[in-house]
Formats: sequence, structure tokens, C-alpha cells
Amino acid sequence: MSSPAPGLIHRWDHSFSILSIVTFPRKRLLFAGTQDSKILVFNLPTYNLIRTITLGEGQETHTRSSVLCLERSSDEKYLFLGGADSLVRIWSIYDVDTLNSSIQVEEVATVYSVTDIGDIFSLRYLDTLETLVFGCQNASLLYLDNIFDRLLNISGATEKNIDRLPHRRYDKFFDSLGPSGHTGSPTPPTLEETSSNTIYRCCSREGQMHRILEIPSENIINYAHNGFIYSICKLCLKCSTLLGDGKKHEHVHYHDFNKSAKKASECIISGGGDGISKMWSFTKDEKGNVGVKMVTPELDNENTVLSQATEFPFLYCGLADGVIKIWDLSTKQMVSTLHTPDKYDVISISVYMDHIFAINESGTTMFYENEVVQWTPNQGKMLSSDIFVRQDAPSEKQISFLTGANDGSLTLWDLSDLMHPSPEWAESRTEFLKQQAEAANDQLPFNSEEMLNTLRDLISFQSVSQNPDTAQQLASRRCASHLSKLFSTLGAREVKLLPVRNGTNPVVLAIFQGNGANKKRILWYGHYDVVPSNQNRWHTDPFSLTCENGFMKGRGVSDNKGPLVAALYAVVHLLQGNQLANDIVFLVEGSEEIGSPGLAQVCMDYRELIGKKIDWIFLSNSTWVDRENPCLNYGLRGVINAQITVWSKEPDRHSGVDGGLHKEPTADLIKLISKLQSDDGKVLIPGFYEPLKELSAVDYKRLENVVEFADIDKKITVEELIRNWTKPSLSVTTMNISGPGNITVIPQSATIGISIRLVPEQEVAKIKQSLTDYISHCFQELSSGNHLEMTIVNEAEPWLGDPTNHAYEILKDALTLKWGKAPLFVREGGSIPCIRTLEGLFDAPAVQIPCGQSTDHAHLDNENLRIENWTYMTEILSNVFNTL
Amino acid sequence: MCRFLIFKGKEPIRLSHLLTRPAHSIINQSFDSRLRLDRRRPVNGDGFGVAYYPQDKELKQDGPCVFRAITPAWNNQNLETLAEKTESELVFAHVRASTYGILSETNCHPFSYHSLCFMHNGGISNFGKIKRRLLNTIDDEYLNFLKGSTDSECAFALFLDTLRKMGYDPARKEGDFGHSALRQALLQTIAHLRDWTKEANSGLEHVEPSLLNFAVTDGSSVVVSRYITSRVDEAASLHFSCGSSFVESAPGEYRMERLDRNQDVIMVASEPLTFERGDWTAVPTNSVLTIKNQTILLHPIIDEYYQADPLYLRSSALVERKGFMGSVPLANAVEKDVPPLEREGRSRPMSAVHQM
Repeated sequence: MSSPAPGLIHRWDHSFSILSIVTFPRKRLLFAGTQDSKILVFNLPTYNLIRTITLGEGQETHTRSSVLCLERSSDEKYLFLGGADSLVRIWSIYDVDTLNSSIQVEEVATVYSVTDIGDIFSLRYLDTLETLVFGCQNASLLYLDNIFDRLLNISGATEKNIDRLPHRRYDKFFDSLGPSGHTGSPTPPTLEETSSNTIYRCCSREGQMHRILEIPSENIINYAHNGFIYSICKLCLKCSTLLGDGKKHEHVHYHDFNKSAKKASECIISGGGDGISKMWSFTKDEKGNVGVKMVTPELDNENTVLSQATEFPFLYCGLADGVIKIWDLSTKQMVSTLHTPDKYDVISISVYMDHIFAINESGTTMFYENEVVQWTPNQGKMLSSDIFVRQDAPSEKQISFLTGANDGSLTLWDLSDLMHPSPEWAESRTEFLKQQAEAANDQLPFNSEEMLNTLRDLISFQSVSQNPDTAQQLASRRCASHLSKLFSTLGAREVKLLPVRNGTNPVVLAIFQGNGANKKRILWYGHYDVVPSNQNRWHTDPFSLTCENGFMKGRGVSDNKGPLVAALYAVVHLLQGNQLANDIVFLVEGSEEIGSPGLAQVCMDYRELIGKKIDWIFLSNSTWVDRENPCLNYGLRGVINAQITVWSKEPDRHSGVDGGLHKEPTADLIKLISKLQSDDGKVLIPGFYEPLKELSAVDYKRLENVVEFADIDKKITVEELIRNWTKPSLSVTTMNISGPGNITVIPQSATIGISIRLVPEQEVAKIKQSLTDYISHCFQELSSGNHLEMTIVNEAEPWLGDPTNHAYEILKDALTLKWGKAPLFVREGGSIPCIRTLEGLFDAPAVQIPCGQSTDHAHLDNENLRIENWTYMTEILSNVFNTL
Repeated sequence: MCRFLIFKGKEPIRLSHLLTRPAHSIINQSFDSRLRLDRRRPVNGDGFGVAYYPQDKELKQDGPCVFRAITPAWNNQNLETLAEKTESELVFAHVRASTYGILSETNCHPFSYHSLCFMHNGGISNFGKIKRRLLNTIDDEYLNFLKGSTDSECAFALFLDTLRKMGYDPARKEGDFGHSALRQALLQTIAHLRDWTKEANSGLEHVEPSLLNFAVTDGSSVVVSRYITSRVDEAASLHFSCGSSFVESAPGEYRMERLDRNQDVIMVASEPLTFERGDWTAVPTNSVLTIKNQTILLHPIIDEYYQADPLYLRSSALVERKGFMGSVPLANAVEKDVPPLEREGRSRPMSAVHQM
């Protein structure tokens, strides 16, 4: 039982149980049915919840229902749902654009029976027969054949039928004044062009089409079992025809079928509370009528059958009390019995290439030959699961496993490491790839999985640069060397670790060479260092990447490792397609959070290597101003952070013994600080406001835009935004005293920190000088016997880009294309120390592209980044890198 | 008309959650206006009974604790107290409106014999005509077991005798006969009654069918029938519900919480106890429901009264007339602790009656 646990890829949380799951691998969608009457639709590339479908009509509780089972058609055009309300609903899923997270969903039909069938526990769609089969609480098996013909043929019957729906016929049924028998079965299909395609077109054209279908009497198999019918599984036709060759077959082929075929048949196996598994054969005759026949003998599991799976020739039955029975369907013999380590009901079972995955309340158990691996996810009681193959990059295939639990959690696992590859694997993959290629019209999307793994590695380095301990110093160095290896592996032509003279973390330089004529050279600036984090205040481990609800969590995901990986893969994607036109130079430092000491020197020292001529400097080191609107940033304020200390030669003293005898440092300092600002908040440092200019009309318009469109929590006015982004400010930030902090102790020294934000018109050097002079002057005025000490902790030049230059224009177009709305042009109150330095050194304009949302919590607890923003960023940059 | 209720849970439930607190519990049903369809016997005031299997293994041996009384259930202070202070995993409860036999404690359901417990909702048609034959058939042991005078108790004696003749000893203290033996014995009992009454009634023109909703348990498995000796009429109503837990959502209002597919709580009742239509499923007429561990099984009773067409609509006129048709409660509960208005010479407004 010692084997690697699978990797947790993502986790989503919902407030009610996840009862059922179905995956649409080709459309890259996941559907989860919940106890509170909802279907959650997730997009795989971005892990985003893109849609919540609520069943029923508004607040009417009678139309709510637990979603007990979900099923898809093989062509992934339809979603079928069975619920606790005794109804089957059919949804058409079309116009899926995973890249833009858009999807059209239309409820096309509701299927009901006038008998009291109770909950619908199991549901399967037989594509060749266009037949829906479902198993119910009252032990009956119901089917509706030629669904799409029925949908097209009926008209007007809907209104009559609607009153027979279980929740509407309520009174009639119980007062027995109810439906007087049933209408005869619908006329057999006559339309030449039947089928899903027609419906599909109807939906897309008319936008609205909803039918109500009744199960005719002859399609009800009463007492198909003597217990609740918990599961139905399909027997793959193709597999059964391969029965003779004795080979293992990976179940990757699609059920291609000829719709025009006159005759067809399919097989299902139902399992119930009575412990029996029964095979049923559905056959369509020349006239298109579908009949059903039970195939003897029935398989007696001697215990409630809760779940079933097939991989020809075997049937795997998940039973009560942790028992799994394996039957050979070709001989109808029981082959083997397995037990999960804990004796809980096997609520769901999946099989892939002889690997059995059983779900029960103690966790997931994998059986493979004699191996048993159990892992306990941090979920409540698990209720549903599905296994599917994900194909993100041509070279990569991932076996994914999705599980839902009663605490509302839905988790996605990567089973690849757990599976035992077989020779047939490679063989079958070729076939799979071919089909994939045929199925996919668009180019392969970005491999967010590989990106995530890369980021996961980076996040695990505790590359803290502020007051690092030895471990963190070493981690930073390891991170740098890991990065350089990564750049090399991913195809950088030149990779070098550049030492910084003052001994701080090295700078990583990597150059990707473009093959375009007239190529430009773009410098991507990023940093691999992070700010410290208080583990106690995080909900997850800050140094291991956690993916939840479409977000990545971890220190550095937003600032700045995440955006760095996005930029890197934007380049890799182009490189792999041999399409990279421009040179991209990555300059990744390790001391951004402490003000980039030594970066300028490094750039000068290695100017030759970095490149004589740099055309653009790109960076992504801030966030949007809200959660909804993509932004481009063109202005940052500068900063001077200073500490002012007043100290005395005397030690800490007692206010009772010594109070009143001396001028005290604390009082001096407070007097001093009070001279920095007038009572109405005006900064009194001489010359502070002198160079300031009025905001231009264009800039004013941009800010107006932000106020109008951005969804900023507090009601912010343009004037406030102007003050915040384009006017200087002074804040008193920290206050410290020597001594024990006892209220009766006169401290020997007191320190106050101030943070001054500057705007482009101001010069850091000038303001700094003016500040120092002013403080010294004021201190002298006090003529106390104490001493003054002033330290500039760090400083940064303000920056103002040109939002109308070529790069911003291209970025604006790329963002608009991807997000479907024009970006807001914003400035920011914060500072990035190196941006002006780099502009000056390389004589190139900088462009700042925010990646995450305003809620990213950079520098705070629970830093996060929405995966959608991240993958979009990659695509946008990929586009921009080549169009510049 | 009578009502019965069966509870079987993975965890024990306090009896008051079944009997006294729910607005639509069978005790409260016994004076609920909606049940006054039966004009002859307006209320289930002819006594009641509760049987529960104790939690303690030793106490559980040799059958349940049975508490029966001839007072109307809503007036019984002892029942209030007992229900509030008792927990059990397996409960049978019954309120009675006598159809046959006098008002006496011995005629109240449930009946118990060692580990076995039995109750009946309905009536055997022309029982007088087959009583002698029944009594002649059964062993002395079971004849002597009879203390009351009802058709239901006789049916239980016949069941015991049938079980005995199948090779089981009904006096076994541990019970545990297995669900299939119990089902077999119950089906055989039904078959006897069906055949005998058919024989006795032959030649008669208008014979009312027998309504045979029986419930039997040995302390571990439960078997419940919904049966009528008619091809066209509906049997007395019977519903089941299962879920994760039975929770009180508002005072007097309960719902079956269904977080997953587990059947941790199973209830079978003449009429639904909660307002959620979706929580309850009707047991098909002429079938038998079995609770095996915490799993429900359903078997048809296939004989001359069976209807193969699943959509065949039996007429509920008979059971309605006789007051054996339960309905799903409406969301507005009637006030608790209010005796039938008729007793005080008052009547409910027509609008309330109309809602029925």
C-alpha cells in the first residue's frame, strides 16, 4: 500500500453535495450535478466555473431536485440529467468556446412518466438508437427510443403534458381524478433527416425550444429489478466485437456509428439494490422501432450493487460494504472479489486500462493486479467520480479523475503517475491522437497543466528577500538556478546567472532567439523573490501551489512568479511552433521586494550580453483595479521610504523617577513629524508641490473611464483617483520605541517611518534633499539635547509611460480580442523601483501589463491569481510578442 | 380506517420525532380534518399502539416493547412522555379505527410474538366466513396466542403458522429469519386469505375486496405488503421515503434530508409524514416492500389481481370511501393539540374541507 498518491490538480467548492459528474473531454468541460438543484459547468483549460444551470422555475420548491445522474451523448452535443423529481431533462450544449469561456446551453426536453417512479438513480444514452434508458427507485427501468424524432414530431402536446409532470399532477394523482390512461405511443418516425443535428439547428436558430415527452406504457419495464436501480452501464460495441483477439484495449475509441443504418443494437447492464446485475439488449428493427430483451443469465452479486463499470470483457460491480466483484461477461462467470481497506459502500467505480478506482466514504482505492493504493482526499464523504483522458499538448496525455463529495467539494486528480503504462498504451494513443486531431478544429490550446507544474515548482522555493534567514537565502539561490535550468530546457539560446556585486540574489538572464526578419528585441523584466508570509494567517501552505475554484493560491502566484511563467510559456508556445519572430530577453531578478539593489549595476556590467539595442521593456507587476476589467498600466508613483529616529544618550528611564527632568526623544519626534504636514494634510516639505502640473484632458478622460467602468468596491470619484494616482502623498507608517513598552517607561529612542509617494514631475533626489534639510532644520529649532538620525530605507523613481505608443496599441487590441472588452488605462499609486532604471539604461519604453485581479492579495495573506487571467495572459503575450 | 408507520434507521430516532411532534404524524393524522373522508368513522380514535425494538442487545431479544392503549392517541399523556424519552432503530406504530372487533387493548396493533411484530391496515373481506377455516388451519400454539377478536390478529396467527410450516420456529428469541423467509411467509399468508375468501365469496354478487396492507418484522428485516384482491381497485395507500436523516425544519415540520443515495433512514407509511412530495414514493399496488439491512427491495405479487400494464389506472373510489387513501399533506399544517371540532359541536369552515 505504499505507492505515490495522485497529484491534486484542482479543487472547487460548492455549498451543497456534488451528487453526479459527467465530463465532456473533447469540449473540455466538466459538469457537476448538485443536491441544491444545480449543474455547475467548469471549463478545463482555465478551471473556471463558467456557468451555473439552475433547474426548475424560480423559487418554486416543487421544481427543485437533487441532480442524481448526468450523462452525455457521444458527440458531446447533449447533456442528460436524471433527478429526485422523477424527471429526465435534456440539454443541448453548443457554441462552446473554451478559449473564451463561453458556452450556450438550452434545455430542449423534459421526459416524465405518469407512474410514480421515485428518484432516477441511473441514466444512459444509447447513441446508435437515440434511446435514453433510466433506472428508478420503484425498481423499474424506463426507456425512450428515437428521442429526437419524437421531439420533432410532437407539437402542441406539450401543453397537455405539462400538467402531468409529477410535481404538477400532484393533486390529481392523489385524489385519483388523474390522467385517464395515456395517449397512444407517438407515431413512428418518418423523417428522413432525423436526429440530433436537426434539433441542434433548431435550437441555435430559434433560440428556444422545449418539449415535454411522456414515457409510453410499453417502454416501462416494471420490476426490472427488485430494488432501486442504482447503476446502468453501457457495453462498448466496438470492444465486444474485438472480443476474439485476446488483447487489451484502451478504451479510447469513439463510438462512431452510422446513423443511416437500418438495424442497430446496443447492450446495457443494470445493477440494483437486489444485488443483481442484468444485461439488456436493445435492438432497432428496420422500421426504427426499438425493442428490449433481457440477456440471461443474470449475475448475482449477493449484495446491493451501487455502481458498475465495464472494460470489456469485464464487468466491475461496486457493492455495499467495500466489496468489488469482477465478472467475465463473455462467460458470465465471477472472476474475482476485491475489498477496499475500509468496509464502506462502493458508491462509484471507474476502470481505465485495468486500473480500478473505487470510491467510498473513506477515500479512493485503486486496484491494479495485486497492487492496492488508497488515498484520502481532504473531502467529506465522496459520492461521485469519473475518469477521463485529457489531451492538452500533442505529446502529453493525462489520465484525470474527478470526484465529488457531500461537503460540496469537487476535486480533479492526475492519475498519470499512478498508472502502469502498457505496450498497447502507445499504440492506442496513436489512434486517440488521430481522432483528437480530427475532432479539434482549432489549434491545440496552451498546456495549462504543464504551466501549472512549472509554477508549482517555482512557488515551492521560499525565495524571500526581505530579511531572509539562511534557509531563505539558500532557497533564493536554488530558485535562481532552477529558473536558469528551466529556461535552458524550454529552449533559451543563452542562459546565465548574473551575480550581483553587493552579494544579494543573482539575476537570471535568458535569451530566446526569434527567427523573423527585422526582428525586435523585447526585454521581459520579472522577479523571483517574494515577500515573507505568516503561515498562520494563510488557509493553505503559502509555499505549495494550491488550485481551488479556478484560482491558484500561494506566495508569488500574482507577484511575480505567476506572470513570469505566463510570459515564459507565451514564448515557449511560439518557439514550439517555430514561430517566434522577435528576440525575447528574460531579465529576472531576486531583490525586487527590497528595492532592486545592484540591478542597475548588473545591467551595465552585462549590457553586451543583454543586447545593445532593446526595443521594449515589458513587465507585469501589478493587478487590475477591479475583478472584471482588464487593465493596462502606464503610470506609477515614485517612493521615498525613510526612517526618522530621535535618541538620547541617557538610557530608558522611569517616568516617576525621571519624568519632567529632560526633553524626551518621543516628544521631540512627535513634534518633528507634526511639522511634515499642515492640519489640512498639505505636505510642508519645501518645494514639494512646486513642479506639479495639472492633469491633461486626455489623462482626465482615462481616469473618468476607470471610475465609470471599473467595479471598485468603495464609491471612488475621479478626484480621489487623481489624488491617489497622480498626486504625491506622505504617510506616517511605523512607530517604534526602545525599552519594554511599559507605559511608565521613557524610551531612550523613538523611530517613525514615513513613506512619500512621488509623481513624474518630481525628482527623487531633489525631494530627498529637501526632506533631509527640512527635518534637520526643524530639529535644530527644537534645540533639545537629543540626537537626530535619518535613514532612507529605499527609493524609486516615478514612472509615466506613453499609453498611445505602438506596444500599448497592440496590447490594447490583443486584450480586447481575448477578453471581449477594451482594457482600462490605469495608473497606480504604488511603485516599482527598477522600471525607470531600466528605461534609462536601455533607452527603451517600458510597458506594464497587469495580470491578476484587484483581489489577488499580493504581499498579503492568501495571495491568489485566477487561472483564467493567467492562461489569457499567456495567449495575449504570445500574440503580442509576435506582432510587435 | 387505520394508519400505520414503520421506521428503520441506521441510527436510532427519538420516537417523538415520528409520533408526536410532526404536524402530520400518524397521531396527529388521527384527528386531521383531511382524513374525515370516511364519513362512518370520522377519526382514528379507537386506540393506538407502538412497538419498538430496544437499543440494548439483551433487551432486544425476544421481541419489541409494545405500548398500546384504547384512548385516542392525541389524548394519551403516557405516550407523550414515552415518545419523548425513547430511542429506537426500528419502530412500528399504528392508530386504529375499528373495522372488526371491539374496542379493547388486545385488539390494538401492533401484535407481537417473541421476536416478531405485525400490523395491518385494511380489512379482510367477509372475514366471518373464513374465520373458522383459518382457526382450524393453525396450530394450537397460535390459536392460543389469540387474545383479541380482530381479523388482523388472526392474520398474524396465520402468518406465524405459515412461518412454522416453512420450517422456522417463530418463537426463536433472536428472530433473524432472513428477509426472504419473512417475505415468503407473508406472501403465503396473503395467498391463503385470498384463496379462502375467494372460495367463501363465490356466488356472491357484490363482494368488497380485501385490503391487505400487512407489515411484519423480526427485529432485523421488515416486509410490508400493499395488496388488494381486485384487478381494478387501488389498494390502501402506502408510501415509502428514504434518505440521510429525518430533520425538523420548523416546529412540527419535518423533511427527509437526502444528501446522498444512502438509505440511512427508511420510512414506510400509510400516508406521507412530510410536505415534500418528492420525498415520498408510492409502493405499487399488489407488491411487497422489503427492508433488508438498510436497503429497500420491491417485489410484485403476481396473481389474478396483478396488472401488468404499468400505466393501468386502478380506481381509488373504494379505498377513498373506506378512508384508506392517504394524501400528501399540504404545506399549511393544522393546529396541533386540537381535538376534532365535531366533538365540541363545531365544524370547520367549508373552505378547509374543500381543500381536501
